Amino acid sequence: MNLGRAKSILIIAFAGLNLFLGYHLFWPDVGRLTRVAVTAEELSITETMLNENNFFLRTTIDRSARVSDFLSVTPDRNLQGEILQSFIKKGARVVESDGTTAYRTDEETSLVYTSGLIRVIYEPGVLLVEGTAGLEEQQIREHVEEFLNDAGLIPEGIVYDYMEKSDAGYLTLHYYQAYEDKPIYASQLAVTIESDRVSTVQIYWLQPVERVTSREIEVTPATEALAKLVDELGPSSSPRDITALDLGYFSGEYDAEKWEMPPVWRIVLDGKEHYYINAFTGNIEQDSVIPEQLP
Amino acid sequence: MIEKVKSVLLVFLIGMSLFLTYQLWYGTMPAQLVVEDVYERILVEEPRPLENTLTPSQVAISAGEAFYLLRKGEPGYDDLWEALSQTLQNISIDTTVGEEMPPEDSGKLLTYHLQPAIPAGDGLPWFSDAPYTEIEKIELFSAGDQKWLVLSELGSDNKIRLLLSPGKTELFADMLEEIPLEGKILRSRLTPELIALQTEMELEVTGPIYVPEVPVYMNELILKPESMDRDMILKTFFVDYNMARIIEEKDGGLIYTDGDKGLRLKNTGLEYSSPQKEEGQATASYPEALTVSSNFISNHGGWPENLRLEEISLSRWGRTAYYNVRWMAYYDGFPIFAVQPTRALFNDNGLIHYARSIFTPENVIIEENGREPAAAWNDALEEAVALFREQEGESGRVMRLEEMSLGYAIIDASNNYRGKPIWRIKINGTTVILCAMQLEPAGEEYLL
Repeated sequence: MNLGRAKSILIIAFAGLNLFLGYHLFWPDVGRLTRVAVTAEELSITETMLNENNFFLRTTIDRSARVSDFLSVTPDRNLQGEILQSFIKKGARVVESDGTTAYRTDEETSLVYTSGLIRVIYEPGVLLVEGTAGLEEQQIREHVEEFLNDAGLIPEGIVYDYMEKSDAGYLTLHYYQAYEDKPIYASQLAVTIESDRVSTVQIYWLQPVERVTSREIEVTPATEALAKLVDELGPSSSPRDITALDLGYFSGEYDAEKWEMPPVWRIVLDGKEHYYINAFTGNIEQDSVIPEQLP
Repeated sequence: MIEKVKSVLLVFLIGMSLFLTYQLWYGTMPAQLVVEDVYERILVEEPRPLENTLTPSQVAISAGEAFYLLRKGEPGYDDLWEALSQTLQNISIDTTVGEEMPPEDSGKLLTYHLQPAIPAGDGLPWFSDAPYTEIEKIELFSAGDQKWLVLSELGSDNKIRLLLSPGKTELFADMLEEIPLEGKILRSRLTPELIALQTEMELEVTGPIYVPEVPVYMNELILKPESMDRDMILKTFFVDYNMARIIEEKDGGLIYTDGDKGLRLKNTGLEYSSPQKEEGQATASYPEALTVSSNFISNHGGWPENLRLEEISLSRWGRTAYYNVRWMAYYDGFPIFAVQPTRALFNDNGLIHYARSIFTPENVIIEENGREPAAAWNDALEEAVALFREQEGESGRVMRLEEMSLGYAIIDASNNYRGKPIWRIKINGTTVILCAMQLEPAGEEYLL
């Protein structure tokens, strides 16, 4: 091959490469998606800071610059209605006390709280499968989802989250709600298994109303969320693994008609401890800062 | 030649690709995506200077053995306070006289009751060249052509006696002549002896309480809750309220919170809290705390003319401390007891809690069949003591009468707010509210 031809091929190749790079950098929307919020250097500094405090990053970090908005939600009254209707069809007795309504049959009790939380209690429990403790997580999950399906307790947008084992040997499988591929961590369904039997199902499900796109803002980088958490927790005496770091929506549980949820970075420590960092303000989300009547 | 051009072009393209790769990798953003933090300037009411934060709780004008009482909102009250405040701002420690003054044959003309106390001395606006003190009562005495002010220091028996200049003497004399006392209610200062005489009950009396000697006619009021510029209020609490989420409550209230602090807006007022600031110290001095409280109320909604600073105290629990400030609206000398008091709690970290609910009278309701007077004070006190005993039982403890006042309580008549005349009586820390005419306990319709 002569040199002139080689030059021509290289010119075409580099021209194409430059077009590709330029497109990703300067095309407004695509550029924003690929723009990094965390540089390689910043990531390295954050990892060093984490390690110095005995925290270890065991997951990947989303380094792109992300924008998000508030998600407007209401308690999912339809789901609540469907569940309670099934209780009424079974001839449940309804007892109201202190803001809680109980629907009782001989084997099941459904407690409904004014906030929208539903707790279904099975007495003496529904057999899931013999020898649950010896099964793999995936197998237990399949049995639980079959149970939920049969009981009519599978809400829309349900996503499996994790399984936890208590000191007493109880297993609890946690699910959250997804909306437009984003997790709503405040919406939760938890199934507790005691001695191979499902003892309770707790559901707090929300109805997304709209994304408040008029207030779309760039979120804080994931590294800032990590720094905030370490700042809040302080150095750990034993090694802690950061097993997940994802962007979703979260808020406290409000006894309200409708509310907005901010985007949060959810940081999972050792696969079971969850922290929510507001992705707009960088503050740790607290349960509630609703003003209360002064004493 | 063409080969040279190709070489130059190739070098340029290689350089360009390196540059773009660097840009992409190290995240230098396109200029149009860089957003600077912009802090919006907002105009709020100018805070009141220290000398305008405090006014007397009541001014008693002597009339023989009885008194006429002036309180916030009554004609003459502001003028009397202004005259005294100006006098204290221009007076020197050199005018202090001995204990023999004022002479025994002098007459007491006025008593200013100052709750909260006014800070004085040490470079402060009042009596600035004196050592620091706090004054809870000021009396004006007169004998012949001379007048004296006697200042009672808070928490002690110490008194400071000041001789007024001829100019100030004349000012007070003219002012007292001009105060419209026609139609004013003649009152007695309540004492255990007077209570025993009128009701055959034994009660201690704490604080100055003046009760009417003659029937008092009060009109029912049509009240309007303060209208607030919600946008402005939000901006005073949140640097960028776009970061705050909105929670719509079942009763129509709106809550804004950024996860750190929360603001509830209702038709009848607002509540704000910032729990993270609770743990902290309150090292501000009393005069500084007064100035800070003025800043807070002026910045967060303003300080309306009919609102008086009613109480300021320092509370401590454990390692935390905070100032607790309360304001009260008045109409024609009568307090309007709101849905919730307008209050601020703050410490060195800033504002911890703020509640604001201010009602202003729009109109008075004139009864067509003539007005009924409020029940006499002795009947009201007997009823209150009976209710107190019913609630608290017969503990055998000495009963202390801490407050007794006619005023207005708010009722919500289908979103039309009315101010109903009431007797408000406080015994041993327990407040009893009675309808002023019938002396029935205030029912659930009252927003208390």
